[in-house]
Amino acid sequence: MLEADPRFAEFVAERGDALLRYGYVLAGNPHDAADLVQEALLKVRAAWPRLRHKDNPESYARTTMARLHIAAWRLRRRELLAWELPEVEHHDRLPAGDERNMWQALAGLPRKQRAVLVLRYYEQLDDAEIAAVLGISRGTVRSQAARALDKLRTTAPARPMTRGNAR
Amino acid sequence: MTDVEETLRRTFGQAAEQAPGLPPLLPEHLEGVHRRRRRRSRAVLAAAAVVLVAGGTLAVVRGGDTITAVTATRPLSPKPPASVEEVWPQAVKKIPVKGPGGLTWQPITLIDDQTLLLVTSTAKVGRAAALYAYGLDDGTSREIATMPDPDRYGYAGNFAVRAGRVAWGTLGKGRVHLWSAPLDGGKTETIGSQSLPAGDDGSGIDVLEITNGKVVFSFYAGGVFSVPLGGGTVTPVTGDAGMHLLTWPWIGAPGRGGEPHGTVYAQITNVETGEKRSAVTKQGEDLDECGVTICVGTTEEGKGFFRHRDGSAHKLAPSLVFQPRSPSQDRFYVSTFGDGAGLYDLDTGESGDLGLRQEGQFMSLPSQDDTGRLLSYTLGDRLHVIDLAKIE
Repeated sequence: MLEADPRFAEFVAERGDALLRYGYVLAGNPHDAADLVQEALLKVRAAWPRLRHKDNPESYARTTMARLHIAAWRLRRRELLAWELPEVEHHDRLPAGDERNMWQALAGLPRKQRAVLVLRYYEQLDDAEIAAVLGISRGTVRSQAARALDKLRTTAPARPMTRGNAR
Repeated sequence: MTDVEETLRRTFGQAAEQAPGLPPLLPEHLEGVHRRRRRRSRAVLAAAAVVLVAGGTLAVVRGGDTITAVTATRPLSPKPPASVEEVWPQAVKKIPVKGPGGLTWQPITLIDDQTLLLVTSTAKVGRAAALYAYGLDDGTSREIATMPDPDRYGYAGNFAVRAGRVAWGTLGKGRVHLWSAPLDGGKTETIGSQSLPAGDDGSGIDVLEITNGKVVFSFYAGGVFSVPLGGGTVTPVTGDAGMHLLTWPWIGAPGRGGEPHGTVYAQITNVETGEKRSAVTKQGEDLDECGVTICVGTTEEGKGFFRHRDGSAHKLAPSLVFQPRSPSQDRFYVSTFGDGAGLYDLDTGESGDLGLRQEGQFMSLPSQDDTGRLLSYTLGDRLHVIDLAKIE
């Protein structure tokens, strides 16, 4: 008989919200974020008996999420999300200004470019680590990041002078 | 650090705080999903025996179809005005959930307008699993064939009916065995066997069909084969080991097995004429699966749609469609309205309440047979069967 593993439940309870925050930044919307987290946690669950102490289930989950995301993976309707999401228009909750403009501009990036930026500026990984997570070369990481930043400069120009100032 | 990079850092940090929280019971739900996937990815045929007993989960027998779903916060269908029995009385039959000997049984397909083919679950109570023909009009049942010894040949699944015969496969150790029996009763014959392909994870056959005096089948791991219905040598239909049977003479890829990996049957080939067809996909949408002609997908807004493979015609449903295949009879689909599930007719706009209700965060949904004509589900102590061809 298959028994629920209490250590897996602990892991989900402790790290689930952090994974969902990461998923949200990666995917840009709560539904795809939750899909990514669910699928990644299922992979962790499946690998759980094989994950040894030195393996880090969280980094396994994060790598899985990034790769699923750039593979344009979508949940097939085989299993829908196992929980309800609150109906909130998230964009509107970001403070008006640079951050909201940037968040909206990010939605226009190809998935791989966005993932590279998330890993670099949210996960604070260096290019070699990003290359390992996404399974791409360091050169690709650099070119994807450069292309993404160029696009963001034109679509979401930073306006440092407006911060803190009345418009 | 440039301004853009600095803004990115702040944006990500702030956005992350807007993410919704996880529900308290998530680990339990994940365990449930994990168990279902394990069952599925193991012997799909062997799972039949295990899962049939549990009831309502027939789709697992066919391997990986939707059987339960959870209402997510997405567009909902309108609640049907009345039950399916009231809306389409001619199409709905309720039959006992248990067959001869008190064994739970599950519908496979319709043999004709008034005869349902069912299979009982395992021989745990000292009785072999068997195929039955059930008269929907008079409630009589007749045994067609008993299943081969599962200890020796593995459990049976992938039943197909045509030309007065039923054929199926059993998944034994490292091989599948193919069987056939006359529908009007008679001897069960073994017609061939084939070793499992490399990469098989114990799932065995994904699709099996009778056609032109042959049984044609493919594996979850890929590879299409055929064997004469009267018995003989199993031969590959194509040299391409990645192909799956769709419906003869069409084969294609990717198949339904494994992790999600793009539109199922996006590319298909007619093995008799060599004609090839690709599915037209559009940016932003999620195209789940294609048949020979019709594809099923979901728009960015979470509405189901049905479209011709070549992109030429399109029907939009008002909400999510819980159905992995093309709409039955090109019209009918199952969807949810809040805490229940209904059957909807795209052509007339009519709908009927299936009577299925959400249990916790899960909801059982009807199983669809391989022809798309039959829907079945268990409700209380009755097995509900809906013959969609009987709806005008």
